[in-house]
Amino acid sequence: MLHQLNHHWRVRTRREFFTQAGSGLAGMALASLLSEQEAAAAPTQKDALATRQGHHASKAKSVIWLFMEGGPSHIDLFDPKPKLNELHGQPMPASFGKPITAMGTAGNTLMGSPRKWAQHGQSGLWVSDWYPHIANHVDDIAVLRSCWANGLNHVGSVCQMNTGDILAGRPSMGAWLTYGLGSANRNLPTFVILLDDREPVGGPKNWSSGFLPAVYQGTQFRQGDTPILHLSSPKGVSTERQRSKLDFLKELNQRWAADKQEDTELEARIQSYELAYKMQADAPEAVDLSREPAATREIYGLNDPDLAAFGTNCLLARRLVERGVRFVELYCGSGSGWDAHSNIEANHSKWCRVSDKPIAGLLTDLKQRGMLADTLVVWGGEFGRTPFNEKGNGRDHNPWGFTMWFAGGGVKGGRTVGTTDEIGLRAVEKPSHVHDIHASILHLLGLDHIRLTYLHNGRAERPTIVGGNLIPELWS
Amino acid sequence: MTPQEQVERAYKLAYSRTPDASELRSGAEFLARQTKLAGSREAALADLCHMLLNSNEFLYLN
Repeated sequence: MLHQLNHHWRVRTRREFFTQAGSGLAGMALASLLSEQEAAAAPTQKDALATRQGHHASKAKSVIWLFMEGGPSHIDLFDPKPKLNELHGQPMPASFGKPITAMGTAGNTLMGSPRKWAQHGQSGLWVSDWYPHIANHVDDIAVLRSCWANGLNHVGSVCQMNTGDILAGRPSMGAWLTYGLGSANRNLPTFVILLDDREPVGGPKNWSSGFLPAVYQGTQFRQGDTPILHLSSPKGVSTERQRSKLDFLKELNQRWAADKQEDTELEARIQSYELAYKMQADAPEAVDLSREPAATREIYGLNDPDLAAFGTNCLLARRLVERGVRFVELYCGSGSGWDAHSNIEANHSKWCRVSDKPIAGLLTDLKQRGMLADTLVVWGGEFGRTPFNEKGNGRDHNPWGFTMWFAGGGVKGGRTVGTTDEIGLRAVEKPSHVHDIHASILHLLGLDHIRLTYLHNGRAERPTIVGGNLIPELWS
Repeated sequence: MTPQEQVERAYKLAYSRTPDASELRSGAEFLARQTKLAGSREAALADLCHMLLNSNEFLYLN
């Protein structure tokens, strides 16, 4: 442990002195607490992306996170509330109190769900008629109905769902996972972001490496037919000529970084040139969807112009995970698409249609290929929506109770976990905070959220800050 | 201009400093290598400048 902290380095700058001093003192404290084995998941400084063993054996090797940005309405999709329909048009009973909402709507009357609900599969899980294709997969899905979060607005809430905190600056889960497990394919990025519309609120801070070394940040692919630009060299530039240039550049950069070890961006830039070069070998094939058979393209909805953008990302996600990418985050309605403050009927009809068939296609495809066993699929937004109306036909933000679901990667499907109250306002049984969700996702990938630490400003920081309880009902 | 002089000129233009002996040597070696790989001295010089402009020393403040 101590030798990894290098607190005996010769110090050349003031900044370096403080960095070393901090890690030195905390290092001594840590070393007495941790054995070598417990530090297993900490990367060596030599190769930040070397493949590493997790803390425990796990089924899941990768995550595909389907992020419905803007806040999908749990009470119109996975959490039916007959009592809410009964109370439709009435004020919320006083016993529920008066929560402070983003738009100050808690005094508005309750609004029942006009959806048609049915039980599906062997398990009989409830899904509304907004998700007819996903409903066919409920036996593989664990629906967590009791999620809760801290943010009232989108920027903070999307940030928390990614990083654990409503304030930007911490590493996102994809970065923690890459830090914990390293890369499984050095010719592709380990953590990939796919968008289907505008930039997510908060932008790239949502896939930032935060205080972790910059090499762990996510890589955003482009939308459309060319997910990655410049995968082939310009005409007339041979591989040897390009390699020779990059070798020279690496030499320049290493020389310059030699006395600036505390600045991880410099190393990340060296690594990104190397990755870009290696991607020329594997990435063109990985992102070439034309090789997929017509039947596969069809189940992802690629023949329907409305579904093609998100469907393409779902298919791309499978191809990337198949090639060793560990964390693919796909935004559906990126830029707050699902944010139905008014006319939820039109808004959710659109985004449910956009996401339903491609997600069902993804689950079918993963299962057929035997990949669902080691791929964890996560569905959810940054929060849910309120049981009371906004503007007569919309719903406000609800971080106190909402639904996420999980499939594959060791998750036991065909079950619901936790409940909200009778109108779907607050989580009641098994309330599961974002930290609990993060801890559980990391657990399913073989990482212990408490032992996955990084020394920052003299403190052993972890993905769940000072919270996080596992939700074993998802897998045992 | 000799290759060394060309490397020195490029360093001054890009970094506002003269290269040290090992940088001069490695820059001149790069020019020789690229002249063969790219087919002309002119293309080799373009490659040298391309890499200096993409380096961290050029892009980051110290």
